[in-house]
Amino acid sequence: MSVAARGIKNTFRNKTRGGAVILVLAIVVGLTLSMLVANEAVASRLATVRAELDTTITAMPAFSQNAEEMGYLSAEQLERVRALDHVAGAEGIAQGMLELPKSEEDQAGGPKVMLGAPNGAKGTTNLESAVDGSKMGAPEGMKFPITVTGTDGNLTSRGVPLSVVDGRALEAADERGAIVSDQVAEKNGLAVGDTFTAFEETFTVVGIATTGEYDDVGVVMTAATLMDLGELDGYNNIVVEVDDVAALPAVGDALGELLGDTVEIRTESQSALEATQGLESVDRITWLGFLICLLCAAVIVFFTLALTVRERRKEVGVLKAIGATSRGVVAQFGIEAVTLVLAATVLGLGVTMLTSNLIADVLVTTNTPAAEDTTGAMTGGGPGKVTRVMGPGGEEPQSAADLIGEVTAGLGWNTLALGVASALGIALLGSVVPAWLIARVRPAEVLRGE
Amino acid sequence: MLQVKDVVKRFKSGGEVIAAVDGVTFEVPDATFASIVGSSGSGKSTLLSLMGALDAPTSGTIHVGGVDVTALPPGKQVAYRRSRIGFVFQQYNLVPNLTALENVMLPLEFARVPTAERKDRALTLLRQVGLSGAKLGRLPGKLSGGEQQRVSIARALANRPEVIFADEPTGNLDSRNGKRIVTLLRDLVVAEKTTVVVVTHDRSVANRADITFSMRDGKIVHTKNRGV
Repeated sequence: MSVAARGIKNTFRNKTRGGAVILVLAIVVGLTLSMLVANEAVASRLATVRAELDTTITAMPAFSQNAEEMGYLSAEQLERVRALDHVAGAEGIAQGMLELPKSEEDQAGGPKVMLGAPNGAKGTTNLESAVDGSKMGAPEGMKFPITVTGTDGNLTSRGVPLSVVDGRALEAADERGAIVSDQVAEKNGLAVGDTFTAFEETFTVVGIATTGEYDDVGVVMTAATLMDLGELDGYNNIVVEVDDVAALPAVGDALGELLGDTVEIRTESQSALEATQGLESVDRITWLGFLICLLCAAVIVFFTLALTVRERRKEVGVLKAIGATSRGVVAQFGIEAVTLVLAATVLGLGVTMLTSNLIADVLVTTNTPAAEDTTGAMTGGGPGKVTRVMGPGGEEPQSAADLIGEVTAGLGWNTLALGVASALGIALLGSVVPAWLIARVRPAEVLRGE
Repeated sequence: MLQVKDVVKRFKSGGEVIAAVDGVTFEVPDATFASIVGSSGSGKSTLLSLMGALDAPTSGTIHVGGVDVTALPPGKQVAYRRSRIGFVFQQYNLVPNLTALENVMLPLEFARVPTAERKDRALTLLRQVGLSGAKLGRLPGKLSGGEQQRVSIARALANRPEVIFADEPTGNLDSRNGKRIVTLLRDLVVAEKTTVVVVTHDRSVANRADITFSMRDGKIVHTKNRGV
């Protein structure tokens, strides 16, 4: 009979006690694996949410109906923003609206709409807007303006990078070059190289970019061109790209401090931030839970083995007296510990399957702000304060709970391998002191006790 | 030849130093049945553990077959216990969840004897001590005291030792079984040319030895040689 066979046989020498220890250990090992599985599921979801997270912040003069009161953001302020910590990049954006020259009917008071910031550029164009007013319940015949954006960073009016599908990106030298949205291009039969008029100047289409339902691309030209033609004294807003999701609040605060209380700081990622913070808490809790359960399992193994060694001290002495090495006896008890833990792990997998999803669900639910806490009306967002705004296209921003969605904890091969490795780690950890006790047993004590 | 020379073993007990073995010197020729007698606390079991390299003397030397076992490093002492000596204990000290056969195979496993040979040799030894059949597959708890002691002797013989040290081998047995065990040990001396050193209280056991050492207060106070 080999050391391994003897070790396995010894595990079940006292069937009642061995069974009880395995049962208790199975629950603890099961919870250990549950914590690990939940942790992996949460970490995976966290990575997904982070990847989906918009890490931009927009700084703009606080809203006022009076354009002169709103003011602009200067090139100097843009440079200072770029120098802030965790700012990966910042672009100044000039905004405005273009509309068709007013007809006699319009001038007589026919239906029309003119949107955009009061301090934005306003001009005329020969292009027709692609926005379908009927979808928004607008009166028939209402004419919509076209958004015009001045940017050196090829961004939309919302600060989102342009997706150019035909032609090329805009360059600083393109004084009379522009990118138009695919909707505007289709509506007006434009292709790359065609021309159109804006601000009573002729522009050449250098590229066509995809756009959203409400055409937030419209016409894009260089910032210098729009500020010149639209007679703007600076940028309408500065779009800041933050290098780390976690740094969003800090950068928002720094921007508020830098640009003063006449500037409003906005992010669309508040819900996502709350979601990630909730998931980060669960990530930490499950990892801590994993370590605590692991330690508990190791303590159970330790006490079981320590008790066993104490009870079988005489046997250890006899084994040494008849020629066993300390290493050999330690190996035998080590195999007993491994057998104990592996048997518990097999049973514990059942506990894991039953509890891992429940644990993940409960922890995620209790650590994520409820939908009513994170959605609803836009806050006033006073000057210098980070606020949430509507999502792209004007939709209601998602709550943290919506962003997290459902966290499904699944037992994969990697987790299983890690679980078995952890189990062996438990056995090793729990065997260290008993092994030391075994090595200290002197066979002479056995004879002396006779 | 077993040679014990000026062996001293001192213990500290309650701040006091006690000499459990106090300058013992004797020799036991090969293939001899020797006995050590004495009252409780006379130092005979301590002397046995020193000869068996289970403990180290405070001073003195013990030679077995020309090798000073007191000078052996720990690893070599394990090898010495495994291959050159065998132990028989008063309370048998068999591993309780191993069968009689498995218990005898244990020292062979420690000596890395091939598995098939282990079983053959263990069966032979058990037959030699008078055990066979279903009893070989029984756990020690299902065997009588005499049977357990015979298994213990077979285990001690497993690695063909030069010397067998037996500590009160008949102490837990009735007189009939005690006599059988002593006869068995004596037969080993004759048949296997094994040296047997028995520690005993029992005068009848001591009287069957070729040489008897009487101990008192850690010293050999009398030696009786019956024609070695």
